Amino acid sequence: MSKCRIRFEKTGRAKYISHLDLMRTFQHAFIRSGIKIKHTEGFNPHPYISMALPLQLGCESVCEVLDIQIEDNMSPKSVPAKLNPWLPEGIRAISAALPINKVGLLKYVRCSVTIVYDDAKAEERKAAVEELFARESLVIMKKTKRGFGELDLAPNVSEVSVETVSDTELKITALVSAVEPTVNPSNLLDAITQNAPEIAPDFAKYMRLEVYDSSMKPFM
Amino acid sequence: MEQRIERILPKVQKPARYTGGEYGEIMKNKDEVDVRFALCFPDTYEIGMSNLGLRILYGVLNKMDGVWCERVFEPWRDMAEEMRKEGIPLYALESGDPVKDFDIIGFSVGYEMSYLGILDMLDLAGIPLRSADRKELTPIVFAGGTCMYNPEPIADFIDLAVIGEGEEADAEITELYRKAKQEGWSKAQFLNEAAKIQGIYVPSLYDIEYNEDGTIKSINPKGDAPAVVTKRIIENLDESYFPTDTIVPSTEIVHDRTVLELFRGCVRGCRFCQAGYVYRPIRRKKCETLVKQGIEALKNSGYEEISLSSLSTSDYKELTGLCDGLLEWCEPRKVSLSLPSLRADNFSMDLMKKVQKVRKSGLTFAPEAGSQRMRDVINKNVTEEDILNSCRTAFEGGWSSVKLYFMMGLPTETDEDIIAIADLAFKVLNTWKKYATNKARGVKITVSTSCFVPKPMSPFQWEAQDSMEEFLRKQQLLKDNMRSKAISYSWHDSTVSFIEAVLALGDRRLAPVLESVFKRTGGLAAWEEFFSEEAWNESFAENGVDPHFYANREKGKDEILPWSMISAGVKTEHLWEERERSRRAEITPDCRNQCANCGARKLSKEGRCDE
Repeated sequence: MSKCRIRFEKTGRAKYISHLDLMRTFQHAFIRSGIKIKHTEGFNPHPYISMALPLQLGCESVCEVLDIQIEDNMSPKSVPAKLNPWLPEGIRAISAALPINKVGLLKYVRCSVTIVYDDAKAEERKAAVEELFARESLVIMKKTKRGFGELDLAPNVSEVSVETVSDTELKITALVSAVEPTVNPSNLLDAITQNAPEIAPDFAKYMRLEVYDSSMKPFM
Repeated sequence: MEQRIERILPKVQKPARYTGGEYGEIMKNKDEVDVRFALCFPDTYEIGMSNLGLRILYGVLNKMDGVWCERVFEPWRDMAEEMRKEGIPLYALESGDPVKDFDIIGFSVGYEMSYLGILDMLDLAGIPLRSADRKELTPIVFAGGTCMYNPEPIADFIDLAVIGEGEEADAEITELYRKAKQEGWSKAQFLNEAAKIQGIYVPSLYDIEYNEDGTIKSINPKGDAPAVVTKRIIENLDESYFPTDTIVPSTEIVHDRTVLELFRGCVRGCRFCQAGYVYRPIRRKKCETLVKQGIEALKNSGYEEISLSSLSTSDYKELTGLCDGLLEWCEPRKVSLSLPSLRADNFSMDLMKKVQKVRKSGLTFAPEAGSQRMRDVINKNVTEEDILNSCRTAFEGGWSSVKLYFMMGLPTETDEDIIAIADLAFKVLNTWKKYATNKARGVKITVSTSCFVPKPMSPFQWEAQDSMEEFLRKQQLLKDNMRSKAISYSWHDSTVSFIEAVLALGDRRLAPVLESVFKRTGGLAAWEEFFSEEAWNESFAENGVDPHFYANREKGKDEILPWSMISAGVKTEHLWEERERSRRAEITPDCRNQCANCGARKLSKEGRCDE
């Protein structure tokens, strides 16, 4: 029995697979691949799979973290090559190794939000977007388990950069708090639509780029 | 994926239904393909992807060189609204290309309530609803599936219908279309040629004449169309294609498991059952074929459950051997085996233990009627003793939950027959009290009644359905006669069953009604939340159609029925003979005990049945 942490990406059409469906998709893929992994206990055993930080529906990622326990004497390193042929389009294991960090140590996420302006005047709004994320307080209304709550993004979002991708697109990259509080990439869009509706975009695309521990080392 | 689609997906529920990209999906290079086939299911992705027939046809068509078959499902309301608002036409999941650009559009139609789904999907695709308004060869719109034993209600919308099993006929239609396209045929020329293929019904080649009382005077075939279209069957199921390499949806569907088809047809001959008659003759797969295909399908999908599916699974001759063969592979891998639709007369402890080995689910029995007389009328060859013995076996084996299914409104039914349902449920409860090994958990007996819908090609095709008032009265009567809190009773809405009967027994004069209802309610009519009694009533009235003429009128022996140009291989005289026997509460032995000479074996080249 060996613990194994897999880094995988979820891109393209696969971004619409929900967290629960993704778990099931991996369970089926592991069975297909022939990699024997530990099952849950109980009457209805399933392959045991754990994901450190559930990904929001519609968000792409190149840094997802998945923990399993391998039952036979297979080295974790060989998992991606053995698993990848059995995964659906857009989901691909990048690397796998023994876990270094405890799951609770995952603290920060670097993510990007690409905002789209159909009128092709993206560049004109760049300064306003930069100004918004430079504010000392940036409060948004956020859906919580108990209804709506306020969250100040300013202390939980840092290293913001805004880059012009094309006439229609600006790409905002930022480092956000992963847990307590959780800042989702879509919250950066909320910041714009709620605090600067005049520069609200027509559409936005989200991507997780990297996950870090508390000392800003990539979470491994 | 197209930008416009990507923009609406975040706004809708369960977007993974609309993206494609699942494991096992078949992608082809458009440049190497000369026929694009849109395999359409007029209901949601979750229902459609659970349909074994659809998966079979997807595989068969994609095995053809130069043909790319893609899947299309009916979007849920929120998605359909967004698509209409943004002007996004219905697209196929694999390529994302608009359905209107496909060559062939084939609908799989398994239940009448999905007819509106066909209109919804054509409308969303931007394709004219009526066949007559589609002048060109491309696209050809056709339908297949169980509902096509009476294709008449949708006759004006489809260019042709495949009667019977589609594995070979769909491929033949596709080949003929390819030839037509290469040689530049007109649509009329193509349809006339198609009508020469066995099992192909071209509605526009039949003129229907009516009597003054609204009944059919004559059905007149034109051109090369045959007077009677006889259904297609696959003779050898061991050699025919079975999808062991199939799509594994990335989102949960209704039957999220491997499904194995043991045989087609049914030996029983229950007189209300359309499937029992239209799937004849009985053709079974060999045990070793099934074990091999089952294991292969499980390996390739990663599913952890396999279901043995057929009309009456426990009638499969080598069921024990099959279960053993599968369990040998499944047990060490924690894969569970499930058997739907058990018969109350041959349910055994042995079988139960096999199913129980990995997982224990609730048990369902379908006595269909409460009194013995009524069960004899419908030829459900099950006695009260059989039912109670089966329940005893189940309770002794530790089961504590039993579901009992019944039908209401069966021909010759009296109030005593209704009350007998309550009596039977009470006897099941007493059986539990007497034999249950684990009483601490309590018992749950669920009685469900559905409303009998007379179906074409069954011995009850001439029957009148009970009125809605009568159904309501009978449901109340049964409710009043239930004697224990351990027995819960639920019933089907009779309004929906009434519409089902109209559509099952209707003719092509229903086309404008379907259009009117579609305008009022949109598609997804099989879903309770979108079903509107008002919309149906208004649409019948608006088009001067009396729905009771179809549903609540008993038809005469010599009346030309709307589906008289279709044959499922069973002789009409046999159906009538069975109807007469039902009136005398006389049972007909099952096919294994004595061949009733129904005629279906003639469909097989060697005249074989159940060997």
